[in-house]
Amino acid sequence: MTKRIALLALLALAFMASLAAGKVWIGPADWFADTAGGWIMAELRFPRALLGAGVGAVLGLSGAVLQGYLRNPLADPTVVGVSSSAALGGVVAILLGLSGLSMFAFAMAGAGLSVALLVALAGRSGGPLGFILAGMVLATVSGALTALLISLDPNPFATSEIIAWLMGALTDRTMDDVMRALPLMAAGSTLLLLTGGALDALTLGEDAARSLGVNPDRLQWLIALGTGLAVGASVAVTGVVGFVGLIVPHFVRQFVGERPSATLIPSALGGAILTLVADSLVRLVPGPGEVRLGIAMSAIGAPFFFLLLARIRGRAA
Amino acid sequence: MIRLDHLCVDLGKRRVVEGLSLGLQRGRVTAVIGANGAGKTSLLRALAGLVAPAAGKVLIDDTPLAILSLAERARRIGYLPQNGQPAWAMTVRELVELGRLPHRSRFAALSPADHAAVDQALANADIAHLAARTVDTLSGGERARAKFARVLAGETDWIFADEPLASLDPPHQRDVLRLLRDAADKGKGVVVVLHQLSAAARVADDVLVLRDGKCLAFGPREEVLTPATLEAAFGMEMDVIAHEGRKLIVPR
Repeated sequence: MTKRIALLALLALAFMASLAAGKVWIGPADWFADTAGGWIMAELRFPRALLGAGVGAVLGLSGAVLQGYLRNPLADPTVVGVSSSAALGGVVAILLGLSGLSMFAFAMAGAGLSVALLVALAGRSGGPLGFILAGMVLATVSGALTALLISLDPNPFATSEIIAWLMGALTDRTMDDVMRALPLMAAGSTLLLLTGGALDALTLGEDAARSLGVNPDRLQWLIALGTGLAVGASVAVTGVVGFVGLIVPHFVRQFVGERPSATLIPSALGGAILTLVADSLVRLVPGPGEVRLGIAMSAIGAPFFFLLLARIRGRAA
Repeated sequence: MIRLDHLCVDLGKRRVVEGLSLGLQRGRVTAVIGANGAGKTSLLRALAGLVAPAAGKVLIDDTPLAILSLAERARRIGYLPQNGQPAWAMTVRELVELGRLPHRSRFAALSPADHAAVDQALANADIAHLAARTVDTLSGGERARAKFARVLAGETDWIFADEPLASLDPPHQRDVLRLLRDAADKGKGVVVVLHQLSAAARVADDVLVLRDGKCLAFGPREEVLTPATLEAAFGMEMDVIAHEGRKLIVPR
């Protein structure tokens, strides 16, 4: 409980830091004032911070669920094809000249299609192995289709827009984006949180889990649908942000132990914190533009992950 | 009582258990023996409801196993699969608490009854002192007892254990056999797949001998564990030696 309170306090700090970060300093007195600073806060930074927290939370949570389900510490939402399928939907929308709600709908359609294909390809009672193999097929195919569309696109401006979008960013998001994405993220997260007990049982293997009353088909649906809704909505508003789902559960296990259900909520909180911090840092880099969040996350995540693994290996030796 | 009524089980397109009809009693240990591929694990999985029969049925107290809900089945049958290291290094107590999963509602914390069952299982398996250790730090024998305690914590009427002695040294084999015996003495029905024939002779009340998925012999151990039956089951001669009131089974 103390650890969760500490995480909540850190999340509150990261949220405040995200509100404060930017090219323009806005004092707390101006946050709710009818001034240019108040407008920036209400129209740009507040939605951005909300989305950052939401996106980070669903990526951390879905990473913890997928690692628990696949019993593989290298799993994250990108390996089951949901992210890349949602991204494919977004790319198609950009090529059709769509934006806003239409683009969001296309990305969600991509995520929805990936969920249906994931469950169909994994097969009834295909288990975690069938699930990850189906996910890898989907990720590969949707990645290849995205590359094909980019390479065939005659419009260099659209291509540039697609590449920038694929790198992931929270820049210039509005309350409309928040209102579209957060309900779906909340619904998906609720489904994912229902899996805790089953993931714990699965630690003992599929037969033991079934003997403890776990329904493998229901579990697979919960995870596919939960990931589709939560991660699909996340990709639809920010593009692809990697590493959060992979590294946060590892970090969390250092404090709460390895029981999968114990890692779920802390991973959601940790994901939100990491994303908010990274998104604050990208705004502090000097220069006219911003480093894309997806790039920053990889730049921060890869060395951090390496250090964490080195520490875990050192302790195991 | 569990009754098998012309039970057949398929593995892929191959029939691995064929036409088994027999009754299993609570309060007794039934050892299932037979050569590799005789259908022992498939039989145990069908008894636990993990694989649907290709034909015939399993009845538990006259109710077909197939119509029980997953949770109801889990509250009545505890299943200990072969080998298997837990995928995540949870603590021994967390591992044993998994046995209470079928008794809990979603998101509910462990009730006092759950805690009592877990404490009792830890004590019965003599691993209460290991409760805070993570399973990856246990020896093979300690881990075997922890996994058995998980099944005990479920307070099920039946325990099905698949080769629980595999890769254990003789003292730890003895510990696990004692746990099986204790469970049966407390009124549970225990069905255990064993490759150690002398262990079967020591712990079992009844022995089921399988050959090619069919019942070669079933009954009290004294009647079943004979040189002729064992030779028919394993295709090799075996001596059954009486020693200090026990039977030792030694391949020639």
